[in-house]
Amino acid sequence: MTSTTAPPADSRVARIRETFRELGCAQLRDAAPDYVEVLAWPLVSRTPGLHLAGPVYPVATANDMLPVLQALDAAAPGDVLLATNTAEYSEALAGDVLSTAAVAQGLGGLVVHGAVRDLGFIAELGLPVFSTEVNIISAKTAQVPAAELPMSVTVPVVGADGPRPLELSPGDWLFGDDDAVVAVRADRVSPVLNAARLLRSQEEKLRDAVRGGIRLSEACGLHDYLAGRGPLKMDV
Amino acid sequence: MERQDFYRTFSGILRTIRAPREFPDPAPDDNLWDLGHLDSFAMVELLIHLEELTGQEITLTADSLRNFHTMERIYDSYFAKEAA
Repeated sequence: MTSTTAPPADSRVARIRETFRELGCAQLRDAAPDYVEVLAWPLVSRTPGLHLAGPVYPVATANDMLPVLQALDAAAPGDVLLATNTAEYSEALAGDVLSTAAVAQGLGGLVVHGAVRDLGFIAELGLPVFSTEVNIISAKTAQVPAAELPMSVTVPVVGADGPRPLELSPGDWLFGDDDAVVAVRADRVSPVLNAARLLRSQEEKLRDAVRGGIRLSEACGLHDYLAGRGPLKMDV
Repeated sequence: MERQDFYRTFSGILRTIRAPREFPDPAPDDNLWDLGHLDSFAMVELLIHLEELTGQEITLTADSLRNFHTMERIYDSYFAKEAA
């Protein structure tokens, strides 16, 4: 773990991060499928077990570190830096130095559509990092003009008929765990988190009942439901 | 917001959320989960409406998590102080 003292995220961001630590992407999606968008990129957590939560600070680049360095500099403590590499072949957009800087600035995590590297080093930082690829070859620097920030990026999200585009702007939120990375609009974060907590508390009642020896069919009212006498309480 | 106004408003929100399914309006102390008024799909919509009613983000505490089951408790948790 790093000994760097990072600046704190604001109290709302810190509270939401703390709340999400007790939950997961599955709970968010279950609680609010209309407001929780699952990123359709094949993202892999490079730091298994760590939860990612924070307002997104997006940047797009084509194998050039300059826009990423600009975005890192502009991001606020608690933000999740989302770097999308538009090049067909992705060189690494994050490694030991950039990840260390992200920790020092108090960022909430890194999500890279493209490659990262130095996985062994990153694993020790306590910073949630997700990427679609790993490549030891680093992206170049300053071969493109400076980016205009802040910017929005379009990401593919899971839809009923296949991936569809979703524009992410600074302030929208990303959440991630070992299962997935999901996006939530800024003004829906609070109700989604609260609904997930309430859902979880209902699920805990079911689990407690089953642990206590009650059959799941009884605890969730299966027979009454099948007989048309009541709701199926599994559908909490 | 007065208690009876809240109950009417809340019941209206539930009807909107549950449409086209129809449920009788709950009594103030009815358990909304056990009677099928609330489930995962209804919950987030209800919270969005409640945040609009209160004009602020709702922060659930351990207490309010336990009490978010009846209209009576929801009113007591988020509206009673303001009405007093």
